[in-house]
Order: sequence, then C-alpha cells, then structure tokens
Amino acid sequence: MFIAMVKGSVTATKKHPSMTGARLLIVQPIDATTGQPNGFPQIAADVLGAAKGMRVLVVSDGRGVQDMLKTDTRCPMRLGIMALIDSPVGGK
Amino acid sequence: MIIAKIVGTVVATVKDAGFEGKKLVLAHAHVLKDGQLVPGQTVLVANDDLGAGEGEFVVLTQGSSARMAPSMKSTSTDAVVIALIDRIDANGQLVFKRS
Repeated sequence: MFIAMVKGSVTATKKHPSMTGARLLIVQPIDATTGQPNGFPQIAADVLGAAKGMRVLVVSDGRGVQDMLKTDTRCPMRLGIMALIDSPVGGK
Repeated sequence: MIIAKIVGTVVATVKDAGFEGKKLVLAHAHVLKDGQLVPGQTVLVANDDLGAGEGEFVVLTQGSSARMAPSMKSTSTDAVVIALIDRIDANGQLVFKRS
C-alpha cells in the first residue's frame, strides 16, 4: 500500500461493464516521509469520495477492488483507494 | 518478503470497512549493502497486528499473500507486518541485533 495525492479524475463512457459506477481518480504516489512525488501517476478506483488535493491510501489488490465495487462480474482493476489519510505524513 | 524499518503510523477515519480497527504503519524498505542495513527507495504503508513500534525492524510480506495472515482475511491489504526481527546474520556476520 502507498500514500498518494489525488490530482484529478478520469471519465470514460465506454469501459469494462464491471467498472460501471466506479469513480476513477488520478493519484500521484508520494514519498510518505517527505511528501515529495515518487513515481508515475496512477489511476485508482474510489468509493469513499476522495477529492482533489487529499492524501489517500492506495492498495494494489485486485480482489479488494472487486469487493469494494461490489461488482457481479470480475473486475480488471487493480488499484483502489481504501482510506482517506487524517494525519500528515510521517505519523508526527 | 522484505526487511523494513517502522518510521511512523498512518491514521484514517474514512476507510474501507475491512480496515476498521486495523493499525497502519509506515515502513521504510531496507536493503543489505556491504554488510550493513541501509534505507532503500520505497516507503510503504502496511497493516500491523504484532505491535511494531517506531524504529523497529520487521519482515513485511506483500501482494495477495498479505491476506493470508489470519487477522487479515477480510482486509483488502497488500502489505502486512508478519515478524518483528530479533537479529539478522548475513555472510557469516551479524548485521543487526535487537537491543
């Protein structure tokens, strides 16, 4: 799991049926100790209502995303936002 | 599995139901270099139910196996602390000993 900053969203009309209703957000992984961007932006599914500028916990667990989206068919998504971070980075 | 040092905790009020009551820690991956444990490139978030404290070295398991930990069956996690390290030996030398 990693911490990322929400940068924006992605809209797609034509998509895999299992993704209907899923919000797709662009998240920039950050180094949790410094807050600096770390690596390429990714696209993650969200049901918690994450907004631009928020720090979120992103999980790379396809089954978890499937459970989260409560989809009937198998879902090809892998990244999901599992929590909205309260504390600043570093736990201080 | 990797060796990591606990560098902090993560608190989140709004979260997936499977994470309710589960402790989250910040873990800095470490690598062995010239017989020393040195910080690696990645800092990640992991679930912990062994009570790992800040500054402790732990073993982290990642990927779908993380869910195999008995307490994580209903948690959509991909990283779990599965051991608190007492000592590390490599190439016949003591690398780390818990004080």
